[in-house]
Amino acid sequence: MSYEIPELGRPLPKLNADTEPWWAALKRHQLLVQTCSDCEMAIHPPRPMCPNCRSMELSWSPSSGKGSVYSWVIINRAFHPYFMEKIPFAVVLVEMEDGTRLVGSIDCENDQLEDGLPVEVTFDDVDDDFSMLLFRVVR
Amino acid sequence: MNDQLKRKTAIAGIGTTEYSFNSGRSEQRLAIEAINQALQEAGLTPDDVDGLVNSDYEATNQVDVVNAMGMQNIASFATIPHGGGSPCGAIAHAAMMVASGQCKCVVAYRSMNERSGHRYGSPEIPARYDWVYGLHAPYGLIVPAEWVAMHGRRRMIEFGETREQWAQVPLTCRANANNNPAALLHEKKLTLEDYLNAPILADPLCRYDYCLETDGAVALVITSAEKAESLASTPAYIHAAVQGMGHQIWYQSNYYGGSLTTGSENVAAAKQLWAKSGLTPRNIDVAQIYDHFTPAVLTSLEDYGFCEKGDAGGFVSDGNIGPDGELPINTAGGLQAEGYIHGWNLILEAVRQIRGTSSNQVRDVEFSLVTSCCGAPTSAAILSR
Repeated sequence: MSYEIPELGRPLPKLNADTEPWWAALKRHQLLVQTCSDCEMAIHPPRPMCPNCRSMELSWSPSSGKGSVYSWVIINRAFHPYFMEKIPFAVVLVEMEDGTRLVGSIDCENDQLEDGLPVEVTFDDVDDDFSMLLFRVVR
Repeated sequence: MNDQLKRKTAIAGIGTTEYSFNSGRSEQRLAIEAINQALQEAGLTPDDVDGLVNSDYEATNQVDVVNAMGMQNIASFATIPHGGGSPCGAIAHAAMMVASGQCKCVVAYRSMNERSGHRYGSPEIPARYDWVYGLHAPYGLIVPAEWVAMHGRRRMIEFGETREQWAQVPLTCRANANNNPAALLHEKKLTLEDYLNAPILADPLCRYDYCLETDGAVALVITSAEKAESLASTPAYIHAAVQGMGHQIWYQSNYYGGSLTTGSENVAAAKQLWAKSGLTPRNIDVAQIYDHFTPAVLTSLEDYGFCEKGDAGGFVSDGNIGPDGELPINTAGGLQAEGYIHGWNLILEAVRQIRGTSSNQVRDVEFSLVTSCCGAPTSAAILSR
């Protein structure tokens, strides 16, 4: 893969063969979770071996996309030019139903955030190559 | 647990430059100044040095040290990884180099123009973020304070901690720095009102929850206990020095396995520390707790066993960490107020407490603890008189 990076655009990840399928799925608006074929443990971030049973038979399963807010940060002073005009903005850590946790953005007012707030995943298209996680509150 | 390192080695010399916002000198020069001072106070010369240890984040290459100082007897050298987790690991490795007989005199050092040069709290702006950084940067979590704030929030959720409680950490550090003429913030007072009125940068952290950015260097000389006793300085015996990796562990963003309010790396280091030292937290007279960000201090106090999990907010606000408290901490001002030499300056203060030369000297110190960074593979050491 090769990309032209828009100057000072949204920060993007650098992928490798272990992580590329997860990101490629996001682009298709699909959330996958790396899953151990032997013990069925859900694993994130993706890695070469299951840390639970040491199996290297790993596959990708669809995530339910549902979880709840576990913690969050509100950024009031941004360093990166892309985020300077977005302050104040929240970044959430969501605990998914499968037990993994994901960092993402959230589509709600900052003062709505609370521990356990139920959310589901949506996808924020960045460019032709990347989509990011954007959670929304489940009413 | 039988520990073959216990009291076999000692820190026989310490050296430091001034701490400043702009040293006006190269990091190489700072390193040499600190090493020179550490050797001189022990009555040693560069010819006596046969081992070198530094950190993976170190700016001064070991070859620049030997080339400048004319060291021709280096027999072993190591670089300890994981940034702020490395300082006490450097002590541990230096102690192993000496106790194993590979070396007689090891210099460990850290130099940085971290304020006037490359600032760790400012973002590099790469096109791409690799590793776990790539999972966070696209959403705006880019610098360490922002990563740690996620852990801090979780402390408030789980334990009901308040900013009034958190304030006791920076207030304690600052008051200690106000007594320490070498501290970068020696002349700057901090009040609870200042803390509570400060802008919240990465909510829930305000600027006073952050460590400083500092130019400076520190160095240590580690020899056998026997040799240290023959030297000019007062030995600070290395009673125990350990590392702990933890699981699962990334850098300041341990979001993906287990608790956000326990440092598995701290727990791993603490388990070894108490087993190998034969001590318990009650034996510790004074502690230098790595204070890059306030909530990490609270988590560390619990993980090392100074209070129960979830009780650190009460522990720090009940007067336990001040100079007359149950566990005086960061008696030179810590990384928040003395200076931030990536945790290495905490070791020097731990030595001063053994020597009886701290500007906030605790009475009758027998065991002096120093910890390295919570939130990365870490390390800790107990020095004794």
